[in-house]
Amino acid sequence: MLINNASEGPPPMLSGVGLMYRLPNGRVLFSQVDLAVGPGDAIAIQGPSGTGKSTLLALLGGVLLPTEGTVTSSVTHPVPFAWILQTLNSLNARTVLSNATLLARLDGTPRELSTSRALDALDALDIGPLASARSRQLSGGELQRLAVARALASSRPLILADEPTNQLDRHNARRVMQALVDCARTQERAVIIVTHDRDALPADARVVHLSEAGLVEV
Amino acid sequence: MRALCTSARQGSLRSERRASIRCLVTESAANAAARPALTLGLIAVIASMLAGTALAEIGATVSSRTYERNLIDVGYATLLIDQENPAGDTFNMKDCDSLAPIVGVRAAVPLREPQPSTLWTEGGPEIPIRTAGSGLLDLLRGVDPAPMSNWVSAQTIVDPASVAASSTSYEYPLQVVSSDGTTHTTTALTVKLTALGAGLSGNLISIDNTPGPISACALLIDASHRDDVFRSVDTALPALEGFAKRWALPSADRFENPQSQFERRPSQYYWYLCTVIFAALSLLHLRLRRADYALYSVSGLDTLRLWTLATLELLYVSVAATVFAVAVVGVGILHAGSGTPEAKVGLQALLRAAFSIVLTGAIVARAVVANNSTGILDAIKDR
Repeated sequence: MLINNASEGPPPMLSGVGLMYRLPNGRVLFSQVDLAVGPGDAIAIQGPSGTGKSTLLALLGGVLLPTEGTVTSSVTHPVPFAWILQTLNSLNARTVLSNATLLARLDGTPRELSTSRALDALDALDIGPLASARSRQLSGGELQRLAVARALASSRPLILADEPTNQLDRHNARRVMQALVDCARTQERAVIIVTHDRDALPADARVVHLSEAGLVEV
Repeated sequence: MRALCTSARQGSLRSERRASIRCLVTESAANAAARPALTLGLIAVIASMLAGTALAEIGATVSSRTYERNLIDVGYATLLIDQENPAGDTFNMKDCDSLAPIVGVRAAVPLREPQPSTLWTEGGPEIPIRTAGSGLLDLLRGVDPAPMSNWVSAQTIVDPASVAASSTSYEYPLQVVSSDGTTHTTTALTVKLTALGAGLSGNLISIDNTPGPISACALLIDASHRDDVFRSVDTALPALEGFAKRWALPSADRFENPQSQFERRPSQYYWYLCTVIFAALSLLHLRLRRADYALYSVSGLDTLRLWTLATLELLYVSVAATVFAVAVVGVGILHAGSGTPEAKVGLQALLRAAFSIVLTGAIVARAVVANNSTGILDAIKDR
């Protein structure tokens, strides 16, 4: 099933066609998965545990090899992806602000701009007052929001988030999901979120369901 | 539209990730500065190792020089004058004897090339014996006989007419008569004939004043006249060409050769030790920081840039430690008043160790980073 709301407009920023992934033990996680995202898209991938949501994210991010199918991108940014992972959240000796500007720094974004963006992102996620604290002083939930802020503060066109709210309370989970969706829409970026937490998603968010049979829009 | 990843192409995006060297330099400096205690601790440890290596080398050099100076200052020095003329017949017994009156010369001993000779056993093995003039007796008088029993290789004086030179005794008193008729007693060493190897046999000496060509002349000289005698020899042997002068230490066999002693100094290997300790420290340091490097990998640094980042972090520490160590050693040298050669040896050792640890840091960083390049996959699998 092809899911692409940008079929009438500009070419998708990222698309996967006919994706199939077989585990080393021979079990097929999913097959015939087609997915395309364009500027302004924010898609949440849901599904039962073990169906391969994170694996699909890894295929789309180019770090895993699909057994079958092709992943293509029209993005010209040398480093198109900003990853939000549940672990690897921070450089624990650096300040929260330094962590939030990491991707922007690596991309060569001017310091003033990256700092301004990072402070905005930290404020949006309610950890702005912690900007000058060492990240090792943060709680698990704050670290998770820091990881989201790092992606938001960058200019990378594609954000791939793997369960970005699993350590957050309801209020902060909604805040994070809203920030990701807003980021996609206001900055013409594309966001793909793997999550079990449907309640945290904005009501108008696009949600797709992954199963062995493929991807179905909910 | 470009293919990011097909069933035949994996990780193409990862190879496109880039960050400028300037960015990496700034990032690594910020990381080092973010851990002041750890960074300063590492600098202190590495600087201590480097300074220790340099100071140990300086100490060994000073010790070796002192040792050599002490050897020379123990009363006498021996000047060997060798015949270098291939014809070998211009330097004779009389030339050597003519050096004896020079002020400061205690003894002048003509020496001939070893000649094969059969000693006590009829039909026994032929043993090379070096012939020396009677000035040897003056030399024996001048040298403290006590160390003779400690000689490592037997500089054996043979009395061909004495039955005492047998394998039944190891030491025996040797009475020799000098040219003026006085009798001297000294200690002779004997060795078993079966124990004589090629090296030992050359040290057998016989006393013979027969005029004729010699191969060398040994002068025993008062230490206070060493330089005067050295110059006077040239004046005393005006007609002689093709001879070379060199200093030999008295009772050299009793002591280790200063050069050998210096060449076997343990401190020359301290830089190995430094390198091994640094390798262990840097490996531990980088392993403790592998979560940071995994985050950098997830954030877009490829293996080469990650390696550069980690190497730069170790480089800052190494360079700072080297500068600190050079300063400490420099102050130490100035304070102790050590000479330029000693300072040079120390500085060479320090820089050799510093170069080695920088290289080791790069290798260790490469090894650690090579195991750290799958941050995203690991993070996903860790769930």
